Amino acid sequence: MFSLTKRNLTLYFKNHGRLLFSILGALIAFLLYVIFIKNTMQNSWKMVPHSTKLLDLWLMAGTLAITSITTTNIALTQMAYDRESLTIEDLELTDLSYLGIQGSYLLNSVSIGTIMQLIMFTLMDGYFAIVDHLSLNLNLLPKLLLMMIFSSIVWTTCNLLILSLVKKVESLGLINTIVGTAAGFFAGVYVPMGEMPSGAQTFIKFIPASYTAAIYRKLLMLKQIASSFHKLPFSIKRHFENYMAFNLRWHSDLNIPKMSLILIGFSILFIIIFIPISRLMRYSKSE
Amino acid sequence: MKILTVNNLTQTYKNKVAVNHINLSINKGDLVSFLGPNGAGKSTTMRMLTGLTKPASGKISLLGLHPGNRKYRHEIGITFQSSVLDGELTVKQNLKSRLGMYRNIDLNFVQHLIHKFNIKSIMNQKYKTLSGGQKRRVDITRSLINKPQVLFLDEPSTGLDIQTRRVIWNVLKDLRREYQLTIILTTHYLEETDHADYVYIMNKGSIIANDTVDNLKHKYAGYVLNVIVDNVKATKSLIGNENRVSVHGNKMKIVVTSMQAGLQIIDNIKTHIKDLEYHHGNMNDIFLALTGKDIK
Repeated sequence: MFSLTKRNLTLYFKNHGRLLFSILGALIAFLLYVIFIKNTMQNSWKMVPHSTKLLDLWLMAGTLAITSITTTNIALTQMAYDRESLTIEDLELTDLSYLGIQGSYLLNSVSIGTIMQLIMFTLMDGYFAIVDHLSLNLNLLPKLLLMMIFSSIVWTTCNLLILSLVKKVESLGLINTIVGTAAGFFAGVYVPMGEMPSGAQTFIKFIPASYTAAIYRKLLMLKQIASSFHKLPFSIKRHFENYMAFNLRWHSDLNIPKMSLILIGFSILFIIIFIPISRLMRYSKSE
Repeated sequence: MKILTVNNLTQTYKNKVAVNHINLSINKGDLVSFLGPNGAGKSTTMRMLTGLTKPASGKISLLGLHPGNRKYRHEIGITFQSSVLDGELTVKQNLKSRLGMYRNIDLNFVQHLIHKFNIKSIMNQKYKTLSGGQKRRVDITRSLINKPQVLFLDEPSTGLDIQTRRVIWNVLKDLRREYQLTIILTTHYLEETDHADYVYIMNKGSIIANDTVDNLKHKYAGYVLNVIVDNVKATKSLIGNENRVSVHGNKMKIVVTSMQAGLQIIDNIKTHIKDLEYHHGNMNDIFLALTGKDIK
Protein backbone atom coordinates (compact mmCIF):
# COMPACT_ATOMS: atom_id res chain seq x y z
CA MET A 1 0.00 0.00 0.00
CA PHE A 2 2.88 2.31 0.86
CA SER A 3 4.51 1.57 -2.48
CA LEU A 4 1.37 2.46 -4.42
CA THR A 5 0.85 5.65 -2.40
CA LYS A 6 4.46 6.62 -3.07
CA ARG A 7 3.94 5.99 -6.78
CA ASN A 8 0.77 8.12 -6.81
CA LEU A 9 2.49 10.94 -4.95
CA THR A 10 5.46 10.85 -7.33
CA LEU A 11 3.12 11.02 -10.32
CA TYR A 12 1.30 14.02 -8.84
CA PHE A 13 4.43 16.02 -8.12
CA LYS A 14 6.10 15.08 -11.43
CA ASN A 15 3.19 16.33 -13.49
CA HIS A 16 3.77 20.06 -13.08
CA GLY A 17 0.80 21.01 -15.23
CA ARG A 18 -1.60 19.02 -13.10
CA LEU A 19 0.04 20.26 -9.90
CA LEU A 20 -0.36 23.89 -10.92
CA PHE A 21 -3.91 23.30 -12.08
CA SER A 22 -4.76 21.76 -8.72
CA ILE A 23 -3.91 24.99 -6.85
CA LEU A 24 -5.11 27.32 -9.59
CA GLY A 25 -8.37 28.05 -7.76
CA ALA A 26 -6.42 28.94 -4.62
CA LEU A 27 -3.87 31.02 -6.52
CA ILE A 28 -6.64 32.93 -8.29
CA ALA A 29 -8.29 33.71 -4.95
CA PHE A 30 -4.97 34.91 -3.55
CA LEU A 31 -4.04 37.05 -6.58
CA LEU A 32 -7.55 38.41 -6.93
CA TYR A 33 -7.36 39.58 -3.35
CA VAL A 34 -3.86 41.01 -3.55
CA ILE A 35 -4.36 42.81 -6.87
CA PHE A 36 -8.01 43.87 -6.88
CA ILE A 37 -10.05 43.34 -3.72
CA LYS A 38 -7.68 44.12 -0.89
CA ASN A 39 -7.85 47.93 -1.17
CA THR A 40 -11.61 48.04 -1.54
CA MET A 41 -12.07 45.78 1.47
CA GLN A 42 -9.59 47.75 3.53
CA ASN A 43 -11.54 50.92 2.78
CA SER A 44 -14.77 49.26 3.93
CA TRP A 45 -13.19 48.29 7.28
CA LYS A 46 -10.84 51.22 7.79
CA MET A 47 -12.45 52.03 11.13
CA VAL A 48 -11.12 48.72 12.44
CA PRO A 49 -7.52 48.86 13.71
CA HIS A 50 -5.09 46.53 11.88
CA SER A 51 -7.80 45.71 9.37
CA THR A 52 -5.15 44.75 6.81
CA LYS A 53 -3.83 41.96 8.99
CA LEU A 54 -7.36 40.87 9.79
CA LEU A 55 -8.27 40.67 6.13
CA ASP A 56 -5.02 38.90 5.23
CA LEU A 57 -5.85 36.21 7.75
CA TRP A 58 -9.41 36.02 6.41
CA LEU A 59 -8.06 35.49 2.92
CA MET A 60 -5.57 32.86 4.09
CA ALA A 61 -8.36 30.90 5.79
CA GLY A 62 -10.54 30.85 2.68
CA THR A 63 -7.65 30.02 0.39
CA LEU A 64 -6.65 27.07 2.55
CA ALA A 65 -10.22 25.77 2.30
CA ILE A 66 -10.13 26.11 -1.52
CA THR A 67 -6.74 24.34 -1.61
CA SER A 68 -8.05 21.36 0.32
CA ILE A 69 -11.00 21.08 -2.07
CA THR A 70 -9.18 21.40 -5.39
CA THR A 71 -6.01 19.45 -4.60
CA THR A 72 -7.84 16.41 -3.27
CA ASN A 73 -10.09 16.57 -6.34
CA ILE A 74 -7.12 16.46 -8.72
CA ALA A 75 -5.27 13.89 -6.60
CA LEU A 76 -8.20 11.49 -6.86
CA THR A 77 -8.32 11.76 -10.66
CA GLN A 78 -5.28 9.44 -10.70
CA MET A 79 -7.71 6.65 -9.89
CA ALA A 80 -9.78 7.48 -12.99
CA TYR A 81 -6.69 7.67 -15.19
CA ASP A 82 -5.50 4.29 -13.89
CA ARG A 83 -8.90 2.80 -14.64
CA GLU A 84 -8.87 4.21 -18.16
CA SER A 85 -5.35 2.96 -18.98
CA LEU A 86 -6.06 -0.45 -17.38
CA THR A 87 -3.15 0.17 -15.00
CA ILE A 88 -5.62 -0.63 -12.25
CA GLU A 89 -5.81 -4.21 -13.58
CA ASP A 90 -2.05 -4.52 -13.39
CA LEU A 91 -2.24 -3.32 -9.77
CA GLU A 92 -5.05 -5.77 -9.01
CA LEU A 93 -2.77 -8.62 -10.11
CA THR A 94 -0.22 -7.82 -7.41
CA ASP A 95 -0.42 -9.01 -3.81
CA LEU A 96 -2.35 -5.85 -2.87
CA SER A 97 -5.99 -6.35 -1.95
CA TYR A 98 -8.79 -4.37 -3.59
CA LEU A 99 -9.24 -2.44 -0.36
CA GLY A 100 -5.50 -1.81 -0.15
CA ILE A 101 -5.52 -0.30 -3.65
CA GLN A 102 -8.53 1.91 -2.94
CA GLY A 103 -7.08 2.86 0.44
CA SER A 104 -3.83 4.01 -1.10
CA TYR A 105 -5.67 6.34 -3.50
CA LEU A 106 -7.43 7.88 -0.51
CA LEU A 107 -4.20 8.11 1.48
CA ASN A 108 -2.59 9.75 -1.54
CA SER A 109 -5.38 12.30 -1.77
CA VAL A 110 -5.25 13.15 1.94
CA SER A 111 -1.44 13.45 1.79
CA ILE A 112 -1.55 15.72 -1.26
CA GLY A 113 -4.32 17.86 0.26
CA THR A 114 -2.26 18.33 3.43
CA ILE A 115 1.06 18.95 1.69
CA MET A 116 -0.42 21.46 -0.76
CA GLN A 117 -2.20 23.32 2.03
CA LEU A 118 1.11 23.51 3.91
CA ILE A 119 2.78 24.89 0.78
CA MET A 120 0.01 27.45 0.16
CA PHE A 121 0.05 28.44 3.80
CA THR A 122 3.83 28.97 3.76
CA LEU A 123 3.59 31.02 0.54
CA MET A 124 0.81 33.25 1.82
CA ASP A 125 2.25 33.62 5.29
CA GLY A 126 5.64 34.51 3.80
CA TYR A 127 4.09 37.06 1.45
CA PHE A 128 1.95 38.78 4.10
CA ALA A 129 4.84 38.73 6.60
CA ILE A 130 6.93 40.72 4.12
CA VAL A 131 4.23 43.02 2.76
CA ASP A 132 1.97 43.58 5.77
CA HIS A 133 4.27 42.50 8.63
CA LEU A 134 1.83 39.80 9.58
CA SER A 135 3.27 37.57 12.28
CA LEU A 136 1.56 34.35 13.08
CA ASN A 137 1.31 32.75 16.49
CA LEU A 138 3.50 29.64 16.23
CA ASN A 139 1.38 27.87 18.85
CA LEU A 140 -1.34 27.69 16.21
CA LEU A 141 0.69 25.46 13.90
CA PRO A 142 -0.19 22.05 15.41
CA LYS A 143 -3.90 22.92 15.33
CA LEU A 144 -3.59 24.20 11.77
CA LEU A 145 -1.81 21.04 10.69
CA LEU A 146 -4.56 18.93 12.26
CA MET A 147 -7.17 21.00 10.44
CA MET A 148 -5.29 20.56 7.15
CA ILE A 149 -5.38 16.79 7.58
CA PHE A 150 -9.02 16.88 8.69
CA SER A 151 -10.20 19.05 5.78
CA SER A 152 -8.23 16.85 3.35
CA ILE A 153 -10.08 13.81 4.68
CA VAL A 154 -13.47 15.52 4.42
CA TRP A 155 -12.83 16.73 0.87
CA THR A 156 -11.38 13.40 -0.19
CA THR A 157 -14.71 11.77 0.68
CA CYS A 158 -16.66 14.51 -1.10
CA ASN A 159 -14.50 14.35 -4.24
CA LEU A 160 -14.65 10.56 -4.18
CA LEU A 161 -18.40 10.88 -4.55
CA ILE A 162 -18.18 13.58 -7.24
CA LEU A 163 -15.65 11.58 -9.30
CA SER A 164 -17.56 8.33 -8.92
CA LEU A 165 -20.26 9.95 -11.03
CA VAL A 166 -17.81 10.68 -13.86
CA LYS A 167 -17.72 7.96 -16.46
CA LYS A 168 -15.32 9.43 -18.99
CA VAL A 169 -11.77 10.57 -18.36
CA GLU A 170 -12.32 13.40 -20.86
CA SER A 171 -14.89 14.90 -18.48
CA LEU A 172 -12.40 15.13 -15.61
CA GLY A 173 -10.92 18.47 -16.77
CA LEU A 174 -14.38 20.00 -16.81
CA ILE A 175 -15.18 18.62 -13.35
CA ASN A 176 -11.89 19.97 -11.97
CA THR A 177 -12.70 23.42 -13.39
CA ILE A 178 -16.23 23.43 -11.99
CA VAL A 179 -15.04 22.27 -8.55
CA GLY A 180 -12.19 24.84 -8.57
CA THR A 181 -14.49 27.73 -9.43
CA ALA A 182 -17.33 26.66 -7.16
CA ALA A 183 -14.90 26.22 -4.25
CA GLY A 184 -14.03 29.92 -4.30
CA PHE A 185 -17.67 30.93 -4.03
CA PHE A 186 -18.75 28.30 -1.53
CA ALA A 187 -15.81 29.07 0.75
CA GLY A 188 -16.95 32.69 0.62
CA VAL A 189 -13.65 33.97 -0.72
CA TYR A 190 -14.49 35.49 -4.10
CA VAL A 191 -17.50 37.22 -2.57
CA PRO A 192 -17.82 37.65 1.23
CA MET A 193 -20.86 35.93 2.63
CA GLY A 194 -22.43 39.21 3.74
CA GLU A 195 -22.58 40.37 0.12
CA MET A 196 -24.68 37.36 -0.90
CA PRO A 197 -28.49 37.40 -0.97
CA SER A 198 -30.03 35.64 2.03
CA GLY A 199 -31.11 32.63 -0.09
CA ALA A 200 -27.52 32.07 -1.19
CA GLN A 201 -26.32 32.45 2.39
CA THR A 202 -28.65 29.66 3.48
CA PHE A 203 -27.75 27.49 0.48
CA ILE A 204 -24.04 27.80 1.22
CA LYS A 205 -24.60 26.31 4.66
CA PHE A 206 -25.52 23.04 2.94
CA ILE A 207 -22.09 22.92 1.33
CA PRO A 208 -19.20 21.76 3.54
CA ALA A 209 -16.84 24.36 2.00
CA SER A 210 -18.35 27.09 4.15
CA TYR A 211 -17.63 25.13 7.34
CA THR A 212 -14.09 24.31 6.27
CA ALA A 213 -13.38 27.99 5.64
CA ALA A 214 -15.13 29.05 8.86
CA ILE A 215 -13.06 26.67 11.01
CA TYR A 216 -9.89 28.04 9.43
CA ARG A 217 -11.14 31.59 10.10
CA LYS A 218 -11.82 30.75 13.74
CA LEU A 219 -8.32 29.27 14.10
CA LEU A 220 -6.44 32.04 12.32
CA MET A 221 -8.43 35.18 13.11
CA LEU A 222 -9.62 34.73 16.69
CA LYS A 223 -6.73 36.58 18.33
CA GLN A 224 -6.60 39.35 15.76
CA ILE A 225 -10.35 39.92 16.02
CA ALA A 226 -10.07 40.21 19.79
CA SER A 227 -7.33 42.79 19.53
CA SER A 228 -8.74 44.71 16.54
CA PHE A 229 -12.24 45.07 17.97
CA HIS A 230 -11.07 45.58 21.52
CA LYS A 231 -12.07 49.24 21.58
CA LEU A 232 -14.95 49.10 19.11
CA PRO A 233 -18.64 48.59 19.86
CA PHE A 234 -19.75 44.97 20.05
CA SER A 235 -22.26 45.48 17.22
CA ILE A 236 -19.47 46.29 14.75
CA LYS A 237 -17.57 43.17 15.79
CA ARG A 238 -20.74 41.08 15.35
CA HIS A 239 -21.40 42.61 11.96
CA PHE A 240 -17.84 41.86 10.82
CA GLU A 241 -17.99 38.27 12.09
CA ASN A 242 -21.26 37.53 10.31
CA TYR A 243 -20.45 39.48 7.16
CA MET A 244 -17.10 37.74 6.68
CA ALA A 245 -18.49 34.28 7.59
CA PHE A 246 -16.27 34.06 10.67
CA ASN A 247 -19.46 33.08 12.39
CA LEU A 248 -21.81 30.58 10.85
CA ARG A 249 -25.18 30.25 12.51
CA TRP A 250 -27.80 27.53 12.76
CA HIS A 251 -30.09 29.08 15.39
CA SER A 252 -26.98 29.84 17.45
CA ASP A 253 -23.32 30.48 16.61
CA LEU A 254 -21.39 27.37 15.60
CA ASN A 255 -18.06 26.79 17.34
CA ILE A 256 -15.17 24.68 15.99
CA PRO A 257 -16.29 21.35 17.57
CA LYS A 258 -19.83 21.78 16.23
CA MET A 259 -18.61 22.64 12.74
CA SER A 260 -16.19 19.70 12.84
CA LEU A 261 -19.09 17.42 13.71
CA ILE A 262 -21.08 18.82 10.79
CA LEU A 263 -18.13 18.09 8.47
CA ILE A 264 -17.84 14.55 9.84
CA GLY A 265 -21.58 14.17 9.19
CA PHE A 266 -21.11 15.33 5.61
CA SER A 267 -18.24 12.84 5.15
CA ILE A 268 -20.31 9.95 6.44
CA LEU A 269 -23.17 10.97 4.15
CA PHE A 270 -20.82 11.12 1.13
CA ILE A 271 -19.49 7.64 1.88
CA ILE A 272 -22.99 6.24 2.37
CA ILE A 273 -23.99 7.57 -1.07
CA PHE A 274 -20.66 6.61 -2.64
CA ILE A 275 -20.73 2.91 -1.74
CA PRO A 276 -23.79 1.85 -3.79
CA ILE A 277 -22.74 4.10 -6.70
CA SER A 278 -19.25 2.60 -6.81
CA ARG A 279 -20.72 -0.93 -6.73
CA LEU A 280 -23.01 -0.01 -9.60
CA MET A 281 -20.11 1.45 -11.60
CA ARG A 282 -17.93 -1.61 -10.93
CA TYR A 283 -20.77 -3.84 -12.06
CA SER A 284 -21.38 -1.90 -15.28
CA LYS A 285 -17.63 -1.84 -15.91
CA SER A 286 -17.27 -5.61 -15.61
CA GLU A 287 -20.01 -6.16 -18.16
CA MET B 1 2.41 -32.51 -14.67
CA LYS B 2 -0.77 -30.47 -15.15
CA ILE B 3 -0.49 -26.90 -13.88
CA LEU B 4 -3.76 -25.37 -15.08
CA THR B 5 -7.08 -27.06 -15.66
CA VAL B 6 -10.25 -25.42 -16.83
CA ASN B 7 -13.69 -27.00 -16.99
CA ASN B 8 -16.71 -25.67 -18.86
CA LEU B 9 -15.56 -22.07 -18.73
CA THR B 10 -18.26 -19.76 -20.06
CA GLN B 11 -18.66 -16.02 -20.33
CA THR B 12 -21.69 -14.12 -21.55
CA TYR B 13 -22.19 -10.43 -22.19
CA LYS B 14 -25.78 -9.30 -22.38
CA ASN B 15 -27.06 -12.68 -23.54
CA LYS B 16 -24.24 -13.00 -26.08
CA VAL B 17 -21.93 -15.93 -25.48
CA ALA B 18 -18.32 -14.71 -25.65
CA VAL B 19 -16.72 -17.93 -24.43
CA ASN B 20 -18.64 -21.14 -24.74
CA HIS B 21 -17.97 -24.04 -22.34
CA ILE B 22 -14.27 -24.42 -23.00
CA ASN B 23 -12.03 -27.01 -21.37
CA LEU B 24 -8.27 -26.66 -21.06
CA SER B 25 -5.56 -28.83 -19.65
CA ILE B 26 -2.12 -27.21 -19.61
CA ASN B 27 1.15 -28.90 -18.67
CA LYS B 28 3.79 -27.24 -16.51
CA GLY B 29 6.55 -25.70 -18.61
CA ASP B 30 4.56 -25.73 -21.83
CA LEU B 31 4.13 -22.87 -24.21
CA VAL B 32 0.48 -22.80 -25.12
CA SER B 33 -0.97 -20.60 -27.80
CA PHE B 34 -4.53 -19.39 -28.30
CA LEU B 35 -5.00 -18.66 -31.96
CA GLY B 36 -8.00 -17.05 -33.53
CA PRO B 37 -9.31 -13.93 -35.22
CA ASN B 38 -10.40 -10.80 -33.33
CA GLY B 39 -13.55 -11.50 -31.35
CA ALA B 40 -12.86 -15.23 -31.12
CA GLY B 41 -12.86 -15.06 -27.31
CA LYS B 42 -9.10 -15.34 -26.73
CA SER B 43 -8.72 -12.21 -24.63
CA THR B 44 -11.91 -12.91 -22.67
CA THR B 45 -10.55 -16.37 -21.88
CA MET B 46 -7.27 -14.87 -20.75
CA ARG B 47 -9.05 -12.30 -18.57
CA MET B 48 -10.94 -15.11 -16.85
CA LEU B 49 -7.79 -17.19 -16.39
CA THR B 50 -6.02 -14.24 -14.76
CA GLY B 51 -8.98 -13.50 -12.50
CA LEU B 52 -9.60 -10.04 -13.99
CA THR B 53 -13.07 -11.08 -15.11
CA LYS B 54 -15.36 -13.42 -13.26
CA PRO B 55 -16.66 -16.23 -15.48
CA ALA B 56 -20.40 -16.76 -15.88
CA SER B 57 -19.76 -20.41 -15.08
CA GLY B 58 -17.00 -22.99 -15.04
CA LYS B 59 -14.00 -23.90 -12.93
CA ILE B 60 -10.38 -22.76 -13.12
CA SER B 61 -7.68 -24.40 -11.05
CA LEU B 62 -3.99 -23.50 -10.93
CA LEU B 63 -2.13 -25.93 -8.70
CA GLY B 64 -5.34 -26.23 -6.66
CA LEU B 65 -5.73 -22.45 -6.37
CA HIS B 66 -8.60 -20.44 -7.81
CA PRO B 67 -8.74 -16.93 -9.34
CA GLY B 68 -9.52 -14.09 -6.97
CA ASN B 69 -7.19 -15.59 -4.36
CA ARG B 70 -3.98 -13.67 -3.50
CA LYS B 71 -1.88 -16.82 -3.77
CA TYR B 72 -3.30 -17.43 -7.25
CA ARG B 73 -2.38 -13.89 -8.32
CA HIS B 74 1.12 -14.39 -6.96
CA GLU B 75 1.63 -17.38 -9.25
CA ILE B 76 0.71 -15.53 -12.45
CA GLY B 77 2.08 -12.67 -14.49
CA ILE B 78 0.46 -10.92 -17.42
CA THR B 79 1.78 -8.74 -20.21
CA PHE B 80 -1.10 -6.64 -21.45
CA GLN B 81 -1.63 -5.68 -25.07
CA SER B 82 -1.15 -2.00 -24.28
CA SER B 83 1.27 -0.34 -21.88
CA VAL B 84 0.15 -0.16 -18.27
CA LEU B 85 3.32 1.33 -16.78
CA ASP B 86 3.69 5.03 -15.98
CA GLY B 87 5.18 7.13 -18.76
CA GLU B 88 6.27 9.88 -16.38
CA LEU B 89 8.29 7.49 -14.20
CA THR B 90 11.63 5.93 -15.05
CA VAL B 91 11.93 2.22 -15.74
CA LYS B 92 13.53 1.82 -12.32
CA GLN B 93 10.73 3.70 -10.53
CA ASN B 94 8.11 1.67 -12.37
CA LEU B 95 9.70 -1.66 -11.48
CA LYS B 96 10.43 -0.58 -7.90
CA SER B 97 6.84 0.51 -7.32
CA ARG B 98 5.52 -2.84 -8.55
CA LEU B 99 8.11 -4.78 -6.53
CA GLY B 100 6.81 -3.03 -3.42
CA MET B 101 3.36 -4.44 -4.11
CA TYR B 102 4.50 -8.07 -3.78
CA ARG B 103 5.54 -10.10 -0.79
CA ASN B 104 8.48 -12.53 -0.88
CA ILE B 105 10.28 -11.17 -3.90
CA ASP B 106 13.42 -12.92 -5.16
CA LEU B 107 15.63 -9.90 -5.89
CA ASN B 108 18.34 -12.02 -7.51
CA PHE B 109 15.76 -13.21 -10.00
CA VAL B 110 14.74 -9.59 -10.72
CA GLN B 111 18.39 -8.74 -11.42
CA HIS B 112 18.58 -11.80 -13.63
CA LEU B 113 15.57 -10.56 -15.62
CA ILE B 114 17.06 -7.06 -15.97
CA HIS B 115 20.22 -8.63 -17.32
CA LYS B 116 18.41 -11.08 -19.61
CA PHE B 117 16.11 -8.48 -21.16
CA ASN B 118 19.07 -6.11 -21.45
CA ILE B 119 17.34 -3.15 -19.80
CA LYS B 120 20.06 -2.09 -17.36
CA SER B 121 21.14 0.79 -19.61
CA ILE B 122 17.62 2.24 -19.79
CA MET B 123 16.75 1.92 -16.10
CA ASN B 124 16.96 5.67 -15.49
CA GLN B 125 15.07 6.65 -18.63
CA LYS B 126 11.45 7.74 -18.45
CA TYR B 127 9.21 4.94 -19.67
CA LYS B 128 7.46 7.24 -22.16
CA THR B 129 10.76 8.02 -23.92
CA LEU B 130 11.48 4.34 -24.72
CA SER B 131 11.07 2.78 -28.15
CA GLY B 132 8.30 0.23 -28.72
CA GLY B 133 10.73 -2.67 -28.40
CA GLN B 134 12.30 -1.32 -25.19
CA LYS B 135 8.85 -0.77 -23.68
CA ARG B 136 7.83 -4.34 -24.43
CA ARG B 137 11.00 -5.71 -22.83
CA VAL B 138 10.25 -3.65 -19.70
CA ASP B 139 6.57 -4.75 -19.77
CA ILE B 140 7.56 -8.41 -19.83
CA THR B 141 10.17 -7.87 -17.10
CA ARG B 142 7.44 -6.30 -14.95
CA SER B 143 5.11 -9.23 -15.52
CA LEU B 144 7.84 -11.65 -14.40
CA ILE B 145 9.18 -9.84 -11.29
CA ASN B 146 7.14 -12.01 -8.93
CA LYS B 147 8.64 -15.12 -10.58
CA PRO B 148 5.23 -16.45 -11.65
CA GLN B 149 4.54 -20.08 -12.51
CA VAL B 150 2.41 -19.02 -15.47
CA LEU B 151 3.02 -16.05 -17.71
CA PHE B 152 0.15 -14.76 -19.84
CA LEU B 153 1.07 -12.80 -22.94
CA ASP B 154 -1.76 -10.97 -24.67
CA GLU B 155 -0.75 -10.34 -28.28
CA PRO B 156 2.87 -9.76 -27.21
CA SER B 157 4.44 -9.05 -30.59
CA THR B 158 2.00 -6.55 -32.03
CA GLY B 159 3.98 -3.76 -33.68
CA LEU B 160 7.41 -5.13 -32.78
CA ASP B 161 10.42 -5.49 -35.07
CA ILE B 162 11.84 -8.92 -35.75
CA GLN B 163 14.95 -8.32 -33.66
CA THR B 164 12.99 -7.47 -30.51
CA ARG B 165 10.71 -10.44 -31.05
CA ARG B 166 13.76 -12.67 -31.29
CA VAL B 167 15.29 -11.28 -28.08
CA ILE B 168 12.02 -11.74 -26.21
CA TRP B 169 11.47 -15.28 -27.41
CA ASN B 170 15.06 -16.27 -26.65
CA VAL B 171 14.77 -15.01 -23.06
CA LEU B 172 11.41 -16.72 -22.60
CA LYS B 173 12.89 -19.93 -23.95
CA ASP B 174 15.73 -19.67 -21.41
CA LEU B 175 13.30 -19.04 -18.56
CA ARG B 176 11.26 -22.07 -19.54
CA ARG B 177 14.41 -24.14 -19.44
CA GLU B 178 15.67 -22.60 -16.20
CA TYR B 179 12.54 -22.92 -14.05
CA GLN B 180 9.84 -24.52 -16.17
CA LEU B 181 7.89 -21.33 -16.70
CA THR B 182 4.54 -22.02 -18.35
CA ILE B 183 3.54 -19.51 -21.00
CA ILE B 184 0.06 -18.93 -22.35
CA LEU B 185 -0.24 -16.50 -25.21
CA THR B 186 -2.94 -15.15 -27.44
CA THR B 187 -1.96 -14.19 -30.91
CA HIS B 188 -3.01 -13.83 -34.45
CA TYR B 189 0.64 -13.88 -35.54
CA LEU B 190 0.85 -17.26 -37.14
CA GLU B 191 4.61 -17.64 -36.93
CA GLU B 192 4.44 -17.04 -33.16
CA THR B 193 2.29 -20.12 -32.81
CA ASP B 194 5.09 -22.18 -34.32
CA HIS B 195 7.01 -21.81 -31.00
CA ALA B 196 4.11 -23.40 -29.14
CA ASP B 197 4.00 -26.90 -27.69
CA TYR B 198 0.25 -26.92 -27.87
CA VAL B 199 -2.31 -24.81 -29.72
CA TYR B 200 -5.94 -24.05 -29.01
CA ILE B 201 -7.69 -22.65 -32.06
CA MET B 202 -10.67 -20.50 -31.14
CA ASN B 203 -13.52 -19.20 -33.21
CA LYS B 204 -16.73 -17.53 -32.05
CA GLY B 205 -16.06 -18.34 -28.40
CA SER B 206 -15.40 -22.06 -28.87
CA ILE B 207 -12.31 -24.16 -29.23
CA ILE B 208 -12.57 -25.63 -32.70
CA ALA B 209 -9.32 -27.61 -32.60
CA ASN B 210 -6.54 -28.29 -30.13
CA ASP B 211 -3.36 -30.26 -30.57
CA THR B 212 0.38 -29.92 -31.02
CA VAL B 213 1.51 -27.74 -33.91
CA ASP B 214 2.80 -30.78 -35.82
CA ASN B 215 -0.40 -32.74 -35.37
CA LEU B 216 -2.55 -29.79 -36.39
CA LYS B 217 -0.44 -29.30 -39.48
CA HIS B 218 -0.63 -32.97 -40.26
CA LYS B 219 -4.40 -33.11 -39.77
CA TYR B 220 -5.55 -29.85 -41.29
CA ALA B 221 -2.84 -27.84 -43.03
CA GLY B 222 -2.11 -30.12 -45.99
CA TYR B 223 0.35 -28.85 -48.58
CA VAL B 224 0.35 -25.63 -50.51
CA LEU B 225 1.44 -25.40 -54.10
CA ASN B 226 2.03 -21.89 -55.41
CA VAL B 227 2.55 -21.70 -59.16
CA ILE B 228 2.93 -18.99 -61.77
CA VAL B 229 1.47 -20.26 -65.04
CA ASP B 230 1.22 -19.10 -68.64
CA ASN B 231 -2.46 -20.04 -69.01
CA VAL B 232 -4.71 -20.06 -65.96
CA LYS B 233 -7.77 -21.52 -67.69
CA ALA B 234 -5.86 -24.40 -69.24
CA THR B 235 -4.06 -25.10 -65.93
CA LYS B 236 -7.30 -25.07 -64.00
CA SER B 237 -8.79 -27.71 -66.26
CA LEU B 238 -5.89 -30.01 -65.42
CA ILE B 239 -6.41 -29.73 -61.65
CA GLY B 240 -9.02 -31.93 -59.99
CA ASN B 241 -12.14 -30.25 -58.53
CA GLU B 242 -11.49 -31.72 -55.07
CA ASN B 243 -8.59 -29.32 -54.49
CA ARG B 244 -8.95 -25.75 -53.15
CA VAL B 245 -7.69 -23.30 -55.77
CA SER B 246 -7.38 -19.52 -55.57
CA VAL B 247 -6.22 -17.35 -58.45
CA HIS B 248 -4.59 -13.89 -58.49
CA GLY B 249 -3.61 -12.87 -62.04
CA ASN B 250 -1.40 -15.66 -63.33
CA LYS B 251 -0.57 -16.82 -59.80
CA MET B 252 -2.40 -19.85 -58.47
CA LYS B 253 -2.50 -21.26 -54.94
CA ILE B 254 -3.52 -24.91 -54.77
CA VAL B 255 -4.10 -26.60 -51.41
CA VAL B 256 -3.86 -30.39 -51.43
CA THR B 257 -4.29 -32.94 -48.67
CA SER B 258 -1.21 -35.09 -49.32
CA MET B 259 2.27 -34.63 -50.69
CA GLN B 260 1.65 -37.20 -53.42
CA ALA B 261 -1.45 -35.36 -54.64
CA GLY B 262 0.61 -32.17 -55.03
CA LEU B 263 3.36 -33.96 -56.92
CA GLN B 264 0.74 -35.47 -59.23
CA ILE B 265 -0.67 -31.98 -59.95
CA ILE B 266 2.83 -30.64 -60.68
CA ASP B 267 3.28 -33.46 -63.15
CA ASN B 268 -0.08 -32.74 -64.80
CA ILE B 269 0.46 -28.99 -65.23
CA LYS B 270 4.23 -28.91 -65.74
CA THR B 271 3.99 -27.60 -69.32
CA HIS B 272 2.21 -24.43 -68.04
CA ILE B 273 4.41 -23.79 -64.99
CA LYS B 274 6.78 -20.82 -65.15
CA ASP B 275 7.71 -20.92 -61.46
CA LEU B 276 6.64 -22.93 -58.40
CA GLU B 277 6.88 -23.24 -54.62
CA TYR B 278 5.68 -26.29 -52.67
CA HIS B 279 5.48 -26.39 -48.87
CA HIS B 280 3.50 -27.44 -45.76
CA GLY B 281 0.43 -25.38 -44.99
CA ASN B 282 0.77 -22.94 -42.06
CA MET B 283 -1.61 -21.99 -39.24
CA ASN B 284 -3.63 -19.80 -41.56
CA ASP B 285 -4.22 -22.78 -43.83
CA ILE B 286 -5.28 -24.78 -40.79
CA PHE B 287 -7.71 -22.05 -39.81
CA LEU B 288 -8.98 -21.84 -43.36
CA ALA B 289 -9.50 -25.60 -43.46
CA LEU B 290 -11.41 -25.48 -40.15
CA THR B 291 -13.62 -22.45 -40.71
CA GLY B 292 -13.49 -21.70 -44.42
CA LYS B 293 -12.29 -18.18 -43.52
CA ASP B 294 -8.97 -16.35 -43.35
CA ILE B 295 -7.70 -15.75 -39.82
CA LYS B 296 -7.20 -12.00 -40.16
